[in-house]
Amino acid sequence: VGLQSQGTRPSPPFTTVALYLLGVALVAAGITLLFLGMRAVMDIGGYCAEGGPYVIATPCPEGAPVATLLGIFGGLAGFFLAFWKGAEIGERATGVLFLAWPALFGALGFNFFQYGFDPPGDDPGWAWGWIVCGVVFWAMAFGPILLWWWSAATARRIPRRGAIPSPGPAPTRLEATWVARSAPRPRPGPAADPSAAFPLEMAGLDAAPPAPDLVDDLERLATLHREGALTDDEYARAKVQLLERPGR
Amino acid sequence: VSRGRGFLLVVAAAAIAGIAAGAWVFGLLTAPAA
Repeated sequence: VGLQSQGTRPSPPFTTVALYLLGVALVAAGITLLFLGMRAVMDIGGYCAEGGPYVIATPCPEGAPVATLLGIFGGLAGFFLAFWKGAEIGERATGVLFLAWPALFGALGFNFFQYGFDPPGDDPGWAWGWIVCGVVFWAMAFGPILLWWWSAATARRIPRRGAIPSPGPAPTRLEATWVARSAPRPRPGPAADPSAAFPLEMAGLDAAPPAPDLVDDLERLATLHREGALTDDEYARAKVQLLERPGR
Repeated sequence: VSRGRGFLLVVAAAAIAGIAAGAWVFGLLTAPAA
């Protein structure tokens, strides 16, 4: 299927990927049902009722309550399915699912804004209650994205020199943040050296920087060995050759 | 297309299919009874 998210991990089974994608589609369908159900209710003033022993002033639009319930529970079921199967595929597969949060609150917030600035009926004014809801929903939708972007921008400013060599693909910006943040922090004190401002260097990782080409070559060799392209004997010999290469 | 981008494209396609399916189901549910 070619849906590999990790360097040397084998492709996940087709059924895993298919169920994962089904879960993603269910999440999107659930959000769409909620979005449309909300619009149907807002069209008639924003609230409605159904069932019960009382006389109902504003009955719900046909099908809207079912659509809303289906959206909530179908979307949740889809999220759990996609998360469960995505965990077998890789971090990228589960990570992308969190976009459902801004999608949900962004879409519902859009409804609040649209109906807030142009409420149904003949009233020419703005419906401030809905506009406030729109602000809150969009803050919930886009606040985390702004935080993520900010932390990624901060991570870019931390030099990666001397970082722990990763056997997998290049770390994402978020992973880079985690690496940088999980390293010990410099202790503040009068003896603090200005060059010690970067946690990675404080961790002693930069004390004796390894030759990057050697590390790369060793990693590539280990990968080939792990994948079975090199026998144990060939791997051992090639490793000795690498380590004894002139210029070391 | 790189593997990472291809993966995101497939996920996006699934999401778009889900949106279309959701809109279709909503249409079925809210269609006035004939």
